[in-house]
Amino acid sequence: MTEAMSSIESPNRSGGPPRGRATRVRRQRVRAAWLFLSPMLIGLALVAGWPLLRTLWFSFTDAELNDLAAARWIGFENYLLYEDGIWYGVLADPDWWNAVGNTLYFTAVSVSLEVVLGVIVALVLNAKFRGRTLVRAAMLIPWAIPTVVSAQMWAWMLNDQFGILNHALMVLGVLDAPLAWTADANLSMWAVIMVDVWKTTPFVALLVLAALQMLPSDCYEAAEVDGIHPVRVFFRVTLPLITPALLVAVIFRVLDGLRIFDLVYVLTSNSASTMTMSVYARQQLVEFQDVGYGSAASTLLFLVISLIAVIYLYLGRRQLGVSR
Amino acid sequence: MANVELSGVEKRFGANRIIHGVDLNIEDGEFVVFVGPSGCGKSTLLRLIAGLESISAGELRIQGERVNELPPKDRGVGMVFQSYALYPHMNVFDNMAFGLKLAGGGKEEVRQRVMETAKILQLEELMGRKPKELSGGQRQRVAIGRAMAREPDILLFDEPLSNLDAALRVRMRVEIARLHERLKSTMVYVTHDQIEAMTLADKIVVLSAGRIEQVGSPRELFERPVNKFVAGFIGSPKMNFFEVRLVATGAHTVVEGAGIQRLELPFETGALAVGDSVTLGIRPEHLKLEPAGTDAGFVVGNVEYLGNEAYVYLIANGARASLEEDPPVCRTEVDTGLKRGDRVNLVPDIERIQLFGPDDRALARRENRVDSPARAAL
Amino acid sequence: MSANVASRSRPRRDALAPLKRALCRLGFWCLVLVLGIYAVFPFYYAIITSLKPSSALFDVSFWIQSFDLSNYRSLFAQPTFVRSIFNSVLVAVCVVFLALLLALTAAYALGRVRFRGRGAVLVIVLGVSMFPQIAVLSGLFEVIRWLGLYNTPWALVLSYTIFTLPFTVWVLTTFMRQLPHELEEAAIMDGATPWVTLTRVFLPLMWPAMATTGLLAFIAAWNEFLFALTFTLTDSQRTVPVAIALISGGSQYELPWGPIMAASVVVTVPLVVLVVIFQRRIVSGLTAGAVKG
Repeated sequence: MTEAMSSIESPNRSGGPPRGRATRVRRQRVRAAWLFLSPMLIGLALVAGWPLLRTLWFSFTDAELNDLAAARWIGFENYLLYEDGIWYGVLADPDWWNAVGNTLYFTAVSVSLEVVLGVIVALVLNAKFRGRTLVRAAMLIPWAIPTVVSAQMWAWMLNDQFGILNHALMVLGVLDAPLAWTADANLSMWAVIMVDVWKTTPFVALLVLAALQMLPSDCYEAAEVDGIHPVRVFFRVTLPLITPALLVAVIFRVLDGLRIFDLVYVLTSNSASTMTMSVYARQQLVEFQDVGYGSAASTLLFLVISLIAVIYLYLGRRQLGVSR
Repeated sequence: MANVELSGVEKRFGANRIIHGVDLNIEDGEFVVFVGPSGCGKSTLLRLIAGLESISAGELRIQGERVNELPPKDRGVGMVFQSYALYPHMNVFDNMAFGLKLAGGGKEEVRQRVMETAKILQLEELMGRKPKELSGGQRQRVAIGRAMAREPDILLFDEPLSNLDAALRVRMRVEIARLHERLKSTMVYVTHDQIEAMTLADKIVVLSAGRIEQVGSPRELFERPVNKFVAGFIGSPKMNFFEVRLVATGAHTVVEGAGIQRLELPFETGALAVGDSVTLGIRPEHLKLEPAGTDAGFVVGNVEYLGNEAYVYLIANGARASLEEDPPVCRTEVDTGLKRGDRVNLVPDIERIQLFGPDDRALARRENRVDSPARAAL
Repeated sequence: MSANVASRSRPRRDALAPLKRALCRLGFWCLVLVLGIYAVFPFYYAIITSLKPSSALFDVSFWIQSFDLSNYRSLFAQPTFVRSIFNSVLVAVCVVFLALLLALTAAYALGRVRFRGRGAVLVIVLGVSMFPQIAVLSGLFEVIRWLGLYNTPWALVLSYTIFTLPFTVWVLTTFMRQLPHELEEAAIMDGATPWVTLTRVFLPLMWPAMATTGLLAFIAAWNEFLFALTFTLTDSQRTVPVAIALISGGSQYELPWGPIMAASVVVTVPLVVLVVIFQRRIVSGLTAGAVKG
């Protein structure tokens, strides 16, 4: 017997609160709920809310790192300023636009590769074979290794003179001369992408795997009885069913990709060919001590990410609405 | 021990009204069972008494005192849940002692009280076990013990036996009846199983769609249902209903219907007139079947053999069996020799017939017995 | 999957079928092998590099050739490196405790109580988890200086809550929701307040979830780089990732690769051990956090 309404937390079907007077228990619970939430809310306000507002404020000032208190309001000058026939500000800085381009390029390429590879890895791990647990544990290792460490490990493997990759490729006859993977402006972005794909494919694979394991097996049995080719089954049955999980993985990875910092910073330093928005902003903030300018860049990055998150949530909701 | 009074109690979730103005008195020491179909609000009503739900309108009094705003622990109630809801990480003793400890009892006092309760329920051996090490019946007893430990005046049971298998359910039913006899505390029990209701209750409350249909002893409900709903809900197999027409009113009430011959019945028709249609109700065990010729009223459909008795399902002569409606059924001995396709007439026990008016309310029986033939053919 | 499908596929009147199936099998195992090697090789290579004496460092080889602990010895001879390990442990452990403590009560409120504003709080939590760290860097820098925490591990404990807290709240809320309703109602009947219900009824049942989220929070805190780099200044206050990143000082050719690889192994081994032991928990925690419950 399920009387769905029977719980203290009875959902209000019509949305409004119950009009009757709540019992003391109910009122006590709501009061307790806010009390219980307050430490977390205060914590988030302290480390996220307030700092974000300050960053926004700094972006309109000429703040400098060693004396933040002396910041003066200068309006939009950090963003864009026209003076004596020359444009100044983040939005007029070719380095910024280079960083934006790099970030978008990096995010698009690495997330695409991760999704494709992640699905393949998940399909493999979804099959029943001996040693599956071992392979799954192995897959988790790249995910668990600190980014900085993986950057260093790969930097060593990609070392132009003594790196094992160059060595292997030369032994195999693919290369005639060693390549400077991390230093060469044409290659360094690919080096970064290579490491990122290596490190985060397991995350995507795990999400997809979880979705795969929830799929109803009768679909597959039906397809098998009908003698449909496995590849067709994958595209017609599996893929549509795991798309929601895939979309979750994609948004997580896109947001991570857009704010990438540590991998680029350690692997290729401040090289222009790989500089991302986060690296650019931090360089202005910390190395050049120009908090106002750096905050303007940070704010722009924040706006880009919020925009993407909002679009995603909007599309996600609309899609849910359609499928309901 | 305490009595419970509900007056005009309502429960709304938003604009959705779950309980419509319930008036009910539960006497001190009474065993009251709320019964009704799924979603009739019986659980909600119990939870209103417990204090797990807030009352939207009306008043709830325990021992004459208004308790609408009182938290559950101050109402003097204990509750046994459908899923037992034992604390999985505590052993039996701690499960039973939890409430007492929270109430601020001293260590020795708590121990004593728990052991007393455990003795009544024969749980002494199990005190150190965790819930997952107990059988279903034992868990149920612990759940009852936990509800009893704080010595509540009123014990509430929310479908406590529905998670048990059939055999165990019967045993626990007996155990609960014995417990009530021993404790003599007020008990309110929710179930959708009418056998539980009939066997346990001093008083049954039949609910439907958030309203009380009838309150009475099991016998009253079975023999004198106030309306068609109660008549159909209590008793298994269900009471048979036939649509009939009044052909005479006043001193002699006579009805007639499709496949049913004239029948004189001792009922008051009140404001009803000749030609009005009413419903005739008769329980399967109050029917006899008589072999008949081509003019028979019914044809035998299925015969269900149950060992000690048989259910014979009937189809009105000339009609086609419909899956939409419940076919008339007769409860007979096993060796009637009836088989599918046999033509029969129904012979009801006139004393047991119920008549329901167009509003589904039961018509009153005439007090002075009419000396009509004891047997009449339908 | 492909092995699965291949082995289950309907027998056809096809002479080549067994051969085809064998080929499928072979291909599948090759794929498994390639994926396994791809995942593990960099770590493996770091280990064999770290075990080489500095003289043999630049002889490229795929196999372990020497077992020389001199890199590790020189690493642990540096007090700052040992200190940075200590800092990392301190920060990660404190972050885990802080996040779990704040998240547990919040998860109870969000998972078990219906109240006005609950949806808004959930959106805020989700929003914060999407924050780019760089966006709060300057503001947080100011807060930390104002609290007098600059260049101490406590600055990191505080700032790491920005990414550990939303995540722990989210996962614990999901777990909290799965606990049966009647259990809480039984506690209410027993006279338990929300606090008692949380600490004495739910908390003992939440340990598996707490362990999972704690583990994930630990890994996240252990790995963090941007805040650690910005909010600490001196060698003695740094965490391991920063220490490793900053070993690379001068030009590329002078990098002490042996000690770097040794340090990398030292930092990674505890994580790998954790991952291998708790892989099931980690997987469930990751998916619970991502697939909204």
